[in-house]
Amino acid sequence: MITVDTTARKYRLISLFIASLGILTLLMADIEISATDPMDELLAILAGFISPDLSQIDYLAEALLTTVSFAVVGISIAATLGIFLAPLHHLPLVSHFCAFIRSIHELFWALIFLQMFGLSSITGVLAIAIPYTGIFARVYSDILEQSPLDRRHWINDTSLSVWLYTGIIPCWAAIAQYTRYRFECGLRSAAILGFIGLPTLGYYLETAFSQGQYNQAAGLLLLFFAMIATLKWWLNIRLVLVYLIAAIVYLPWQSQLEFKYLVRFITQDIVPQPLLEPTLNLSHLSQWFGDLVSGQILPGIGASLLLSVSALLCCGVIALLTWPLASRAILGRGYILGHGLLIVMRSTPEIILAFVIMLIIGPSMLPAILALALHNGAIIGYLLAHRADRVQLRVDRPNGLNLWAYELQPQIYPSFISLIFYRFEVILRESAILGMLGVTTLGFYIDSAFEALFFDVALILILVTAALNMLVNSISLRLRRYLALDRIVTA
Amino acid sequence: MKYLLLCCLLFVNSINAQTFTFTAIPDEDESRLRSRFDKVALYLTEQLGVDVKYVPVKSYSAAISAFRNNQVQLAWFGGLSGVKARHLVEGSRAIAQGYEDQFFKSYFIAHHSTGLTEQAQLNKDIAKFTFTFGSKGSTSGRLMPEHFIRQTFGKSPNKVFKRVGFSGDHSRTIAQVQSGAWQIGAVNYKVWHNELNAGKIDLSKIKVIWTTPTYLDYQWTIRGDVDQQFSPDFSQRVQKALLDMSDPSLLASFPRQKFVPATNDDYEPIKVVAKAIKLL
Repeated sequence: MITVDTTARKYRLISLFIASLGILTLLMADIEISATDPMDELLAILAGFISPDLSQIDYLAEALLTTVSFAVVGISIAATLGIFLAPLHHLPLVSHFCAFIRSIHELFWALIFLQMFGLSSITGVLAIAIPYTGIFARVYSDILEQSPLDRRHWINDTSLSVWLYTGIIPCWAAIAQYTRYRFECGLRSAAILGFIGLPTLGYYLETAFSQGQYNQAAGLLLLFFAMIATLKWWLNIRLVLVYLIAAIVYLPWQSQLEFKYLVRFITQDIVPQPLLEPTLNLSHLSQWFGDLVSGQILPGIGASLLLSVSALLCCGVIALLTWPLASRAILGRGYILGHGLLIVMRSTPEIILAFVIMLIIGPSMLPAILALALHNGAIIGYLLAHRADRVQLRVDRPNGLNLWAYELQPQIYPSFISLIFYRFEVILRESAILGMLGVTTLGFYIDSAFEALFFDVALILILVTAALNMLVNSISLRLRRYLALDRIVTA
Repeated sequence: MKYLLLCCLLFVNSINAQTFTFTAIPDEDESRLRSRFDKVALYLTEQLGVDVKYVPVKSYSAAISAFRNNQVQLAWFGGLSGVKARHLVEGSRAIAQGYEDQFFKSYFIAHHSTGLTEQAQLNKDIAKFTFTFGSKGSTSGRLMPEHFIRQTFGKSPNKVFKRVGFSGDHSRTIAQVQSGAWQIGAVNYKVWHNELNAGKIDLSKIKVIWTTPTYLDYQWTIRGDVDQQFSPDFSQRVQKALLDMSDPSLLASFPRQKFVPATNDDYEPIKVVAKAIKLL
């Protein structure tokens, strides 16, 4: 028998690999479904969506403006830094640094800055700007690498104009498009920062949901969907500077926190407590650390990986099923409906998705898996639909199912695999957040540590999370190289 | 531009220096929290003669951090969060508690499908079910229920029950036990009665199966340095203003009939329990 090393064979192998790993983890994960009695609660949620209500929310306009302002300022800073870091991204130091800052979820950044700057705009803006800088630097560098001009040419000559004219300008369209897409993510991040107390939409959304005031929750969610759906009309690239200035002027920048508290946080709070004892007791220190490793770090890593890998498989399936629904080439005008569905799926915060799913199937890891899969599957579905609609089709192309199965699906499969790899990083990062629901991922322990104000424990756990993310990232990078997928820009 | 920003910062800081700020942990009805507590701020402004502002927070830990970092000088804490805050801020004192907080309690509630009936003593029947606490940092939704479970069974909750979770807050505990997602939950008795009166609870689906012994809960805690920061007798005046609060519409925000004096020592038992569970 002769095996030929075709591209298709590689994709088959890697798909099989992801699928079997996913099935294995699903078998190992805690996915028990318990009989529940959710009709009343679900009807109440439905009733909320039938009569959404925003009139009962104080300071709604303020929340809306703060959400947009955090996103505008945070993303502007991140995009600017990202574009300067991009040409240096081939240096291991820079790429590791970028991987590190983006491997920590914006909510965790916010929880850290909350201790340093309090509930201020600085906290909100930095929590978005820092991880997004890491993301932009990497993706911009991917985009620049595909610049038609030779890369060495502009690396060796470091003058600004060479960099600008041979690097940035030829890729401007791709950069602008990607930045716009990320702005949507930034809005979502800004909204979610409300969950921990910053005055954005999420603040009120979380309250309404936890209090069972579903008409208000529905009103806020619909408002948020509308904001995302109309983004292309109100986010004009020429107006960015105007928005930026308006946002900077609008946000209150004062922080009432004194400098000494910042110093205390850095020199005392985050230092492992046994190290602060007057005499260093090594056995005490090693016991403290050993308890942390066996009680939280190892079980946390296990649960995070189980959750993320199972979610990855489900996410892939959902993406493959949903992208045709939002593709103009396949559905013609009907694509609008699919497009709307994907906006709803990807804009609903995972925590809320998981909450609703948990009402139906009871508590286990499954609601978290499904929430991650639906959210990320919808994002990949949306990006795939975009890509499929840019495929040049021949005049004698097939229609309907045949077009989908034999023409478009095979053509966008490399993008799909590439996106799946990139999304795994995101899913792993977000799995930490769902720990807040009680699934004992690393995030569960991080959340507990912040709740108990054990900042030293929180920091160690965050660093472990970051290390795990970076490890996964480097494995996925190797796999992408193997598949020659690094030629495809992940968006 | 940078200098301009810096100047603004300094300017704003200096005018804020004389604003007395307070917060309240988000525990009871969270909706319209800001407009309700703005009324309390107005009352305190009148009583104290300084500008008083309410700062909303989203979690117990955020309330403690704000207090610790002097972003607020006064806070309406739960038993556990108060003990923690006073542990972290030297010189801070509990000055008043709700009348009801002298004998606070938690209810264990169960979905009807468990077949559980009201029990006088916590007994082994509950052990095979799933169980949810409220917020991780709550006294009535976490600390005291966990304490009584450990006392009865001699082991930690996740070894007693089939599965243990944290719903996030009391209302959600009730909603999730009522929907059967969790079989048993521990909840603040005041929130239970609030929701019962509001018609949100269907007693054919969910009922109280056990009432904990009473313990001390919510209290007002003030930073020790307010007397230097505002005026020599400032903390006394704050205490008086709180104890004198009699307008039902203000007290309804907490919701308490009135406030009575409290001291740090009153909360020693809570501190002991928190240390035993390693939450302090």
